[in-house]
Amino acid sequence: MRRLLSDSEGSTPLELVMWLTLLLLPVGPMLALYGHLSNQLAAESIARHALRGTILSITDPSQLPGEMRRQLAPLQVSWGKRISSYTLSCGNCARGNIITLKVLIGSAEAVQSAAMSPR
Amino acid sequence: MGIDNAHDSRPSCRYLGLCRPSIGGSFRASHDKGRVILSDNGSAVVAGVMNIALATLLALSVLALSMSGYYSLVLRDAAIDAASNSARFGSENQHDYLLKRLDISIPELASFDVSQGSDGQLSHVVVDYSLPGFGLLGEFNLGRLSVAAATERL
Repeated sequence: MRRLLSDSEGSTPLELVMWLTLLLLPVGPMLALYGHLSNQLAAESIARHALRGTILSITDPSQLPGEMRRQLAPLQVSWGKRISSYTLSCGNCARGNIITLKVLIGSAEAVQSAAMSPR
Repeated sequence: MGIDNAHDSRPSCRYLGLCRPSIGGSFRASHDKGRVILSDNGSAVVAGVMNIALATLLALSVLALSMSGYYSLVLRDAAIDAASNSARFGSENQHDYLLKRLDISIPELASFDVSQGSDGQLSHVVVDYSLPGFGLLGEFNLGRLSVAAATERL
């Protein structure tokens, strides 16, 4: 055992494979982390701008779902992401109510709220 | 003809540099490319310098790649903010705002140009940029970013 640990003889290809594995192993988690962070940033940005655009564009609460779709489409293309799902909740959707938009991209989730104008 | 015979051209462990020829079976390195490539012989100092140089190059390249990823997100976020702002009714031109924001957020060595427009339904912002690169990745970060936001309805 002692000879095995102190001996300089061994397989060069095997050593190369081991070093490459050790050097490249952190790349996978790093890419996964980058993917998640970019998804999170995109979800926050999309939710914020889509909700703001929708609130400013609608004159009647019934226009809410259609206008939200119109706002979300160019934003997700601009970010180069695909929105997994989004939910829009506004209680009874009367004027003056709070609208909450939840956007899900991959495993990243963003929630934004805003109030509809009472007039 | 044994396995360690110098005149034996059949594949054997010596091609992998894993064993030595017998006493009577010496051979020249030029006659055996496998041994030249995988042999342990050579200057340890040169090997050390090459390893350090390659490791430094690799580390710089990974750093450049990380920076490129981060700044491309910053650029996109700023461009989408500008596009959304310009999509609002009666908003001012976002050209100067975006240039100033990018000037603050992006490294000094980066260069960029911004243009914007609208087709009635959508407000567009286009950013042409070049980020500094180093290591194995030189001036590779040339890119064009085109984003849009839906215009406000009245």
